[in-house]
Amino acid sequence: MSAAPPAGAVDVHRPGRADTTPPARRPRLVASLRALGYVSPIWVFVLAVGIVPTGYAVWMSLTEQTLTAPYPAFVGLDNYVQAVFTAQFAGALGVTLIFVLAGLITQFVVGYLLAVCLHQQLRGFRIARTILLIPMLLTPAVVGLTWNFMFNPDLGVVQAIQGVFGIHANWLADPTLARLLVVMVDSWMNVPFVMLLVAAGMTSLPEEPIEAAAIDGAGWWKTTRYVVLPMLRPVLVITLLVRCVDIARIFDHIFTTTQGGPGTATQSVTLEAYNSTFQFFQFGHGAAIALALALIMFPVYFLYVRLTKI
Amino acid sequence: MNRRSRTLRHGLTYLVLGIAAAYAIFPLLWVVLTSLKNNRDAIASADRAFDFTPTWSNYSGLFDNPAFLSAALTSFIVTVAATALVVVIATLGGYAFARLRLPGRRTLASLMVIVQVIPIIVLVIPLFRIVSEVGLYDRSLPLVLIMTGLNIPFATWLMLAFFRSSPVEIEEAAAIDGASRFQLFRQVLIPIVAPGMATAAIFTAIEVWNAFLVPLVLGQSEAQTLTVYASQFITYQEINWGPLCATAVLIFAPIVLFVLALQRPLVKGITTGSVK
Amino acid sequence: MRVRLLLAAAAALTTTVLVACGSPGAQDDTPQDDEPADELTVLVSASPSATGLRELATEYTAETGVTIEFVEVPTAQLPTKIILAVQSGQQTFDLAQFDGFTMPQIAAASALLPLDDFLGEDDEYDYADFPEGLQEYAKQDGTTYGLPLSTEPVVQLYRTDLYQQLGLQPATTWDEVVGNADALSAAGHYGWASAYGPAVSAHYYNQMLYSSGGRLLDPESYEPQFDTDINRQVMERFLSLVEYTPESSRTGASADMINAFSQLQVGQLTAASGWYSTVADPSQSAVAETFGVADLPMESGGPYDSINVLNGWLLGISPSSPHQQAAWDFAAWALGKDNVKAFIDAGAPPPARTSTTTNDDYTTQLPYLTAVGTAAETGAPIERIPETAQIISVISQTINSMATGQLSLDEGMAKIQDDLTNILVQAGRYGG
Repeated sequence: MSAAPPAGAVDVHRPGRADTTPPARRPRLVASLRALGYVSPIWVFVLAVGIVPTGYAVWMSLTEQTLTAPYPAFVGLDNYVQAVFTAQFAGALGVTLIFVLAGLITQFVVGYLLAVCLHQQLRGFRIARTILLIPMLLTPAVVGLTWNFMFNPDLGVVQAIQGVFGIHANWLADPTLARLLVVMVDSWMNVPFVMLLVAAGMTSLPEEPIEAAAIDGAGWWKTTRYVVLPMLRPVLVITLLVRCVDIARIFDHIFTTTQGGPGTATQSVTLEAYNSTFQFFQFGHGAAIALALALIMFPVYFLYVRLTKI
Repeated sequence: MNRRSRTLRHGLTYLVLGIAAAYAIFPLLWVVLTSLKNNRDAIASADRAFDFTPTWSNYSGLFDNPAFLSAALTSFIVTVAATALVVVIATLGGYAFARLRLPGRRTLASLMVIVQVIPIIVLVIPLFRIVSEVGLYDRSLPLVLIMTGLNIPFATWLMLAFFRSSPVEIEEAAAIDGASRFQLFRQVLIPIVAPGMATAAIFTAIEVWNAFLVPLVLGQSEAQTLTVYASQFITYQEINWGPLCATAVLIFAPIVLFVLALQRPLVKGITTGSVK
Repeated sequence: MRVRLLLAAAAALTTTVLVACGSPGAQDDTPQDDEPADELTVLVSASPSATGLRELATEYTAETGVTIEFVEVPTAQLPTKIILAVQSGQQTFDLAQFDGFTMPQIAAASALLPLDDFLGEDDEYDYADFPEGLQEYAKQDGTTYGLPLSTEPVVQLYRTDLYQQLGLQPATTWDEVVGNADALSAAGHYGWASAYGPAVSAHYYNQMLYSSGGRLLDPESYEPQFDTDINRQVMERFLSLVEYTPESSRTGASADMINAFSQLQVGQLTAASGWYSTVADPSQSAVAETFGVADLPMESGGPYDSINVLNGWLLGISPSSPHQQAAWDFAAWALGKDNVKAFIDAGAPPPARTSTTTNDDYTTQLPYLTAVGTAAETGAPIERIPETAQIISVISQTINSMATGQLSLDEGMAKIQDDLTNILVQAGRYGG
């Protein structure tokens, strides 16, 4: 869970009622100016922290600046040719895509299952919810470090546990397992988020259709498939988008869990951009790579704006 | 539904929740356990995990270290300041979005979503350049402002949803009664959306407290936060798992305690905010 | 009512905090002249060398009244932080610890102060006490940017108890390393440990390559050498040793390798000499009493001289520090002849002054020091060009891919050759 798009905007409709502030006969212009006044801090922050830096990054991606030549020279699309249209970038994009798909599937299946369990509100479910919620709150960078520690193939606790079952897998050396590990860490932290949202969605569902389905003799799966899931769709879609964006840009816990290894098996696009920028100091390459990711995520952004109907 | 199948279902539910809770809590317990070991026990093979003499030395070492204390103070100040700013700005903004005729609402909304979805890695170098330009590198102030900016959109959407889900009628009644705008806000709206503000505050506080990349790039010594401080235990020369885990516990503890104490607004906030 | 109070409190707090954070910003544009300093800030990475500096700093403060503040940074972040600090135009540190192979990057960013003038004027520091190779080590394109804080050529660590049991001798050639690994492995121990991980494995390959007479790049033309026989042979041998290592070596970094050696039954490894004190420290190591140190195995046969790779920390001064003279005074004092013992006592590998490596007291305390003296005269650092960081990263990732079975030897060698050629051509260093 990072600075994600709003869970809070799921079914916001067009502006509710007209201006309810008193008195009603004030001229429109003044009312508009006042509304602008309310959001002016947002304008300032969004421009200063988001839009201007993004523009700056676009400009950086079109220039060459190295350590020896800190004065930028315009080079057109060279950075994109050298850093984005390459096999390496394609590989990193593939890794990011795997993380997104595997992460979404895991987090939704497990999150949904746990939401169903919580929704029954059996005795003690609040305690379970409290415990399940904790991983969501923790610092991703530090979580990555501790998982790396637990998965140390010689000394780590996971080695000891799987040893009991006669398994001696080295999670950090096998490309598939290493990717799985990243997905596991991400899911460990984010299943609670999906769970909470879905459980909240379930609480607000009307009882009648579900009861009707039960009376018709539909089993759990059929009720879920044909009644509950369609009703939950708005919540699910928004949660999906939120998670999708977040996984696509994860950095902290890959950086600290696998460092992109083995080889480049968990080298995601964000890690690639980080290395170009902060290890090799090729600011142009780094900006081009990061912006390429942002561009690829644009459809998600578009969907998001559409769905939230702000 | 007969009793046997209900018992079975309950049993299954408890089983799933039990496994999930164990999985959720285990890494944390492991970190706490390791934080109580000296360096040699901490890196020893997990077969010997329980074969050690507990020590507080990792913790006392941290509390004796001015760098840790200063990082903790920086994290605290940045978190409190950014959270306060975000809540105030998002409440006003959410109100305007929900209730007022707002010119440029679509434009602003789209820009806010951009801030939410853009990878932070795009922003850090430009932000670094801007912050350096105004002479504020390695200060807390830019961290506060940047973390505020990054968290405003989410909090605003949250407040928007809270305003939407609260009945307009009360406001209209208050307006008819001739209440001033200030009175309206103070006496009618704020009490109604207070749970929303609490939710926004919790989410923002978690985000700011946990931030890594921005403080990593923009802070060095004076503005080093706890997350960045923790990463220094991984060095070329050694990995100090004991102190690292102790730091991790101290980073995790406040946010976990804070949220557990305020769990009701958090869960309620998500419920109200997302699905009404 | 409560809500209002809360809001008021929040607003007040915000204002206070903003004012508080904002005010230090005012004192920025300090002139870069030498002002008398009462406080110096040193950027360090947690290491025995940094511990040594810290202990000396206390003494320095007591003598001169100048307080020394240390800021710890993860090793991988050191060059980043130094460069960003200088690019920010603000003075955030006076002195910084950095690794020799990152110096070309840092120097290229003009983030280090040339020290030649200071060296010329300071007789007490006695720079002539350092072998020429070490003076070279601290130079980039003829300019000196750092004072040696530690000198760490590669040495061999081995388990005296296991070697005695099996009747083995420390290897003197890489062939013997493989032979010893076989014997150790037959007896149920790990025959070898190293760091094959995606961040550092190039350094370990490099140790084997340089001591077998190979190089990463041709020193004159910067042509990548990964299509040559010697690089291929060494890579094949380096990878063939993976099967003798503990699992954590396969993906680990240096610290994982040392942890494995100090906790498990690992027979031998090669590492920068600075690691000696970590393994010898009974509070961190289970083998502190049962390991020995020997010279790096050497083999001839390659096209270049077979030499040891020099590693080691340097201590440099920030060009934007307003206290350059004060920074120099502290550095030259701490790293001077009289304070060598403080580093040795802190478990740090001291800078290899000739007077240090030939001092009997010191060599008894640190048995590897004689070997350091030899290596300091004959060894050489890896290629000193700003692209080195990227080259190391590419090679390390590819070695790790080969060590984890994702690429074959042929594919890996070809990929490294291609990638390095690309990097060097893009940088305009090599014509292709």
